[in-house]
Amino acid sequence: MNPTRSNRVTKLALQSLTVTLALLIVWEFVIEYPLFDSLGWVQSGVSAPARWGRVGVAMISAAIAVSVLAAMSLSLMRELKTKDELMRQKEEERTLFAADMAHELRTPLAMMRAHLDLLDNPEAISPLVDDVNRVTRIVEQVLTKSQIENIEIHPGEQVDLVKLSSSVAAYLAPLIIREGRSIEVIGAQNPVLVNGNAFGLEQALRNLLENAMKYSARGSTITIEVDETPALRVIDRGRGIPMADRERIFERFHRADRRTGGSGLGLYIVRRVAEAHNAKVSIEDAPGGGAVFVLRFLKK
Amino acid sequence: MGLSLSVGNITFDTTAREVRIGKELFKISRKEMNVLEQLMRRAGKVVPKDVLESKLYGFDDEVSHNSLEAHISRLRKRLVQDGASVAIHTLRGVGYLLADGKDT
Repeated sequence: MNPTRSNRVTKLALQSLTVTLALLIVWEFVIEYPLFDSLGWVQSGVSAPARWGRVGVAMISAAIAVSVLAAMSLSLMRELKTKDELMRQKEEERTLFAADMAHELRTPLAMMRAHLDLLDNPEAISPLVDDVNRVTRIVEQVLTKSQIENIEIHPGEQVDLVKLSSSVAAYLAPLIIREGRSIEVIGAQNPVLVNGNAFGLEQALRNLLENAMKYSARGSTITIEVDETPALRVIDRGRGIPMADRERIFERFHRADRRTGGSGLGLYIVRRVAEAHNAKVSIEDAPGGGAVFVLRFLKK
Repeated sequence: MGLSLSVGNITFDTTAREVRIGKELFKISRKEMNVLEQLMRRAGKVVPKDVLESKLYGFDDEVSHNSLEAHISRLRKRLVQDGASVAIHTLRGVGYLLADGKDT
């Protein structure tokens, strides 16, 4: 008999036994010898020792029924735990595989990029460089996704949202300028500290900026606004996000526009990082058109 | 350290303190030259405002609030007038970035 079948048979047997015992209790207490009667509170023709004997039988039956139910619950819990454990293990294996693969791909991609840089005729190789950069970014995203799945936030780790915003903006600025947009950081001037993981928050902000860059018009400015509440806002002057899509775009592998060639992991990473920080991520309309992605942290 | 910096059609001889756009000498003030040097040393990357200020002004110099912006603005205008292929981008709250025109 295979384990699943054997489990089912055991469960059926236990269920039958429980029902039988329950019926016996009902018979003892309610139908033949009501409890109150057996305790002697109501007059009856049954002698005291016989009444106590019946109470005893009823109590033992109840104890057996409770034990059987407890055993069944335990076995069910154990079974669920094993299933959860198996699913978690499978997910972990998938994540590790993706991380290994991404890690292995990084070196040949870097070599390809280095070889391309050595070639003359920059105009001819420019599309190739763009392609290599795009694939490199997708590989990075896969790696980041696996890293943020198990992100840890240590109680003493503080991240300054103002400093984080300036450094991520400075890192992406050359690309943003090259793509014909600009970037600015506004809002709080003094440090705004949150308990968080610097790597995770950096990745979340980076992905929000890349998303803004993809969907905003050339010549426009992408704004990061830091406020003391504490919150981070990334504001673009694009076409905005329709209300119906505002939940869906945070799903894994969701891509609003297949022509843009992303990995579909960017906003999923944002959501996972937000969840790990007990922060809320939401989308609003920007005044004058465009989208505002808000990352709102818990108040201290 | 003396070296020649080159971005787009601008060359900067840091030993002779000479800047040229193409072959023409580009005459600017000492402070503007220092700003340009810092931006050219990190061409294509952001130079934070406080880094530029610390390179430009000595310990005893009084730095007025908009002094750096004024120098950058003048320099930007002169670069356009004299046909430079580079542009200085002001990124509020982030810093300044000098980029070759073909990259933007």
